[in-house]
Amino acid sequence: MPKEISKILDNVFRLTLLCVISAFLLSLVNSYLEPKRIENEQNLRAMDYRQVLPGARNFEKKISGGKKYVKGYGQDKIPAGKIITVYGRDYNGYFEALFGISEDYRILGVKFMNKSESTNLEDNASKEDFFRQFIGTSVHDLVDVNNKNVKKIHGAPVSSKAYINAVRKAIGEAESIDATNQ
Amino acid sequence: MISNQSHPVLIFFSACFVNNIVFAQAIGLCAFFNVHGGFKASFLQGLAIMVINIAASIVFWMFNAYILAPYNIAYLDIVSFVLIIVLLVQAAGLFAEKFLPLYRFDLFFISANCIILASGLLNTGYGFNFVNSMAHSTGIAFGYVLAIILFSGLREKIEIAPVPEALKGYPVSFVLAGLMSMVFLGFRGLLGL
Amino acid sequence: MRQTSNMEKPSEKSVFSMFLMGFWKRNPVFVLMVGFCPLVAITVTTANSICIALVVSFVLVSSGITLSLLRKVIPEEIKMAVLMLVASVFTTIAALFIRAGFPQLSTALGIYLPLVVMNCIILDRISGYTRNDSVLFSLLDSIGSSAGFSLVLVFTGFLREITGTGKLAEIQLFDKPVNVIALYPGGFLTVGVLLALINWFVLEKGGKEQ
Repeated sequence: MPKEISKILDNVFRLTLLCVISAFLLSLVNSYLEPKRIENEQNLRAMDYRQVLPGARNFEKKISGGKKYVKGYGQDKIPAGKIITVYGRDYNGYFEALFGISEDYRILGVKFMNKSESTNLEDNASKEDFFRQFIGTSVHDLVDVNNKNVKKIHGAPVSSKAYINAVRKAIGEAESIDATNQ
Repeated sequence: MISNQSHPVLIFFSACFVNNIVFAQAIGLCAFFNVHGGFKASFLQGLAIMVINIAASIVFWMFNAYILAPYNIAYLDIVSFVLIIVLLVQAAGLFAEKFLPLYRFDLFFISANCIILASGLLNTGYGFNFVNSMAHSTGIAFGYVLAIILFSGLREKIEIAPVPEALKGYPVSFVLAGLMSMVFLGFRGLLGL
Repeated sequence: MRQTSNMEKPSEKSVFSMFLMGFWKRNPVFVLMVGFCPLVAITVTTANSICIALVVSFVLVSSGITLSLLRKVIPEEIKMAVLMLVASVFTTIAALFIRAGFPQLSTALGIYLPLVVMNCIILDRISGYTRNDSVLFSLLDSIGSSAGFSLVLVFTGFLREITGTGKLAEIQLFDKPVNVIALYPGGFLTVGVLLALINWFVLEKGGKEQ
C-alpha cells in the first residue's frame, strides 16, 4: 500500500510542479503582452473615430441619460461633434454602425461594421457606398422613408430600410443627448 | 444574437439548431467523422459526449467564476480547462472500465474534446451566468447528438450505394456533411436569432 | 484510407527522408486523416489559414522539442496530462501574441485559435515523441508534419477565398463569386472534393504501377 500511495504522490507532485512552472511562464508572457494589446486596441479605435469624425483630434467617452457616446474635440478643446454607435438588424444578422454627427446634426461620416459571426452573403462595398450618400445630410432630409432622393441598395430592400432607420436613430440620439445635457 | 440577457430556452435553441456545433460551427469534426458502426454506436458516442459536456461545463463555470475571474488570471483559461478535461476524461475512463465494458474509448475521448473545450470557451466568451451556460452546453450536446444520429442514418444508406472508388470513405462523408450543413443554414433568422 | 500513425526508427532514415515522411508520405490530412477540424472553419480567407498554419506549426514544433527533452521526467500515468499541458501552454502563448499584435485577426479567428490545442495532429504526433530517443527526430518530424498541414490549409484557403468571395486580401479579382463556398457548407464540399481528387491520383498511380 505505501508504495502505491508514494507513487501517486510522486505523480501528483510532478504534475503540480509542471503546472506551477507553466502558470509562471504564462504570467510573464501575459504581463509583457497585455499593455501592448490595450495600446493596439486604443489605436485602432482612435483610427475608426478619426475616420468617422474627420475634424476631431481627441476623443472622450461619455454617458448621458443612460446612452453611451463619444465626444470629439478639435483644437483648443472646441467640441467637434459626437460619435454614436447604433445597433440594428439587417437581412444577415446584427450590424453595428458608427455615425459621426456634427454639432448642427449633420452626418459627417459613417463606418459600418458587420458583427455577424459567420461570413455574410452580401457585399460590404455596396454598403459603404450606400452609407456614403448620407454624408452631409441632416434629419430633415430623411423625413419620409420612401424619399426618392435616398438611393437604396439594389436588391436589398429590407436592409436598406434598416440602415435608413439606423441613420435616423443616430441623429435622434444626438439630439436627445444635447437636450439632456442642457 | 444571444447574450446574457436572452432567455435560457432561446439560448438552448440557438446552440442546438441555429448554431449547431458540427454543421454551423464546424467544431468537433474529429469525433464526428470517426464513428463507425451504425446507429447504436453513434447514439452511444453522442450520449457519452453529452454527459461529459454537461459535467465539464459545470466545473468550467465554477472554476471561471471563483478562481479565474476574481484574481484576474483569465489568460490561464485554456490551460486550466484542458487540464480539467483530461482529469474528467480519466475519471470517466475508470468509471467506464468498471461499469460499462465498451471498447476503443481512448481515441474517441481524445477526439471529442474539441466540443467540450469549445463549449467552455464559448460560455466564458459570452459571459453567461450559471443557468444560461448550462442551457448553452446542453444545447451544444443535444445539437451534437442530433447531428450524429442524422449522419449515421445517411451513412447507412451510403454503404449500400454505388459510390465511385475515389470518393469512398471520408470524401463522401464530407460532401454529405456539406449538404446537411446547407440544410441547417435554413435555421438562421428563426425566433429572432 | 486511414493508416496507423506509428513512428519509424530514426536511426534508419536520413534527415531529409524524415522530413519528407512527415510532409508527404504521412501527410496529416490526406494520409493519416487527422486534424481536419480547422480545415473547414478556418480556410475562409487565406490570411486566416496562414495564421492558423503558423500557430499549429509553432505549437507542434515547440511542444515536440519540450516533450522530447522532458521524456525522462514524465512517468507513464500522467503522460496524457503533461502532453495536454505542454500543448496548451504553447497555444496560450500563441493566442496571447496574436491577440496583442493583430486584434482584427484574432476576432476573425474567434474561438478557433484556442481550439488549436485540441487539434488531432498535435495530439497524434506528440504522443509519439515521448517514446523516441532523439530530439532531432521529433524536431524534423514535427516540422515535416506542420509543413504538410500548412500546405493543405493555405491551398484550401486560397481556393475558397478566390472562388467564394472573389477577393484576395481585399483586392477584388472578379465579380459574381459563388457565395456558398465561403460559408461552412462550401467548406465541407471543398474539402470533400479535394480529398476525392487526392484519392483519385493515388489510385491512378497505384493502378499504373501494376
